[in-house]
Amino acid sequence: MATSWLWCLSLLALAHQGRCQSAALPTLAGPCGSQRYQDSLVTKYIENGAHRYSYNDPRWTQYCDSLLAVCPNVAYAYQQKAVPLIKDGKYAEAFVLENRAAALDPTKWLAYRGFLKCVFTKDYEGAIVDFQEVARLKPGSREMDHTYPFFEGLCNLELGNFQRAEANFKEDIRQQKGPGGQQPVHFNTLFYTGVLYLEMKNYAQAKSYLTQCLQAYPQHPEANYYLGLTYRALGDKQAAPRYFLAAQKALAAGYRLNEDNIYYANYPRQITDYEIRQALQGR
Amino acid sequence: MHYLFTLLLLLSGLPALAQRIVLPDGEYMDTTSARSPACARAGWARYYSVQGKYPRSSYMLAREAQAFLQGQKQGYAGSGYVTFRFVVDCAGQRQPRVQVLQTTAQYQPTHFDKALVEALYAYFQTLTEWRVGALQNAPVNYLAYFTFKLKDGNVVAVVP
Repeated sequence: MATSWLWCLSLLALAHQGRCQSAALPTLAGPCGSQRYQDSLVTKYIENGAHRYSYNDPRWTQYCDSLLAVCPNVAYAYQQKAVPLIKDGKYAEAFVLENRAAALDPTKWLAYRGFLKCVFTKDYEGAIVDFQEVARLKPGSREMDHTYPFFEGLCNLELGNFQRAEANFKEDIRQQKGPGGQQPVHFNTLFYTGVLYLEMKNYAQAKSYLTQCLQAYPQHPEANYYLGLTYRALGDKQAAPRYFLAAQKALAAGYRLNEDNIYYANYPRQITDYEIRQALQGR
Repeated sequence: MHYLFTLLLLLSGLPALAQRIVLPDGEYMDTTSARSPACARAGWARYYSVQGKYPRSSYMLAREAQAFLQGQKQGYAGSGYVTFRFVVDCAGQRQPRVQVLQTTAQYQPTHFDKALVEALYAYFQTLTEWRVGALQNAPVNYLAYFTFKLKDGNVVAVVP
């Protein structure tokens, strides 16, 4: 008898618990499936919540978690929660969140994950996969001021796939120039294309692209340095140190590669004063 | 007396073993706390707020680290990331307390062979030119990390 009562009570308790859950949390088929509702949560918990604090403040994460407790399908909350983690080198924690964001909203966050793999974790193979996939979803789009082929080119350059990198940078330049072929090309496209040709020992092309980069941005430290290396490879012992010294002067004056994330992670081929001193000593 | 001398000699070699220490908040290569009294009142920052990346290119550091590994004359294996997290004090001295994080190439938590992690840590300890961090002209202590990207037991990149 007692056992039967207990059994009935357990059933009632279970039924009650189930009703509470469905009543308390918006379901994915309900409000959480609505973009308007998601946007209202982002305004409430991210824009008027997390963003009032530094991302290193624990409240940043708490606001992201609060949003996700209401609707666990808001990609932006996962991406925002990952921001302090990636910048602290906590890749295991960060990429669980980045993967979730990219899975929920690939058109928004897949290219960003590719960028993180390319610049932060130097996972060049992984970045190429992401950029190729997002290029199919959003052809002709950009991430962090650059076309997808730019990042593919960067990754292929670092992997030593020079022919593929060359094709990527050509496509990057084509996209930047636009249908009329008149739009300017980003100086870092010119820079990395120059570095690629230096690697390929095509010194004439390396000189051409690095010089074009310096026409757009004369204090570009890396372009000066790699143009110095190009002249050194050509045996020009007068021009090479001139560009090394220009690179050194530019770095000392605070000029940089001019990409938003260089404070967090070095871009490929980014140099310091140490490498310039080595070059000036002929090493 | 000889025994005491031998014991002291053995003990002096212990820190070089870079043993892992497991604490509730993570794994550490070293948990020694040491701070210059002058830095006790200094402010705190992250490396990226004070241009605190190590003053060498990532390419140069990866090349040096790989040469260091090869110099150990041991075969290593594994692909992924080994990250050391630490503090550089307001005088530019890296503090001995070092957390270690390890993931696979797909960013899943893992553990590499201890000998490999210790070799990387030994290389990391040779880096002594950390920048002095400053905010508004005042020196600060800063949190930093140093990651080795490994492919088949070789260092192929360094972050940041």
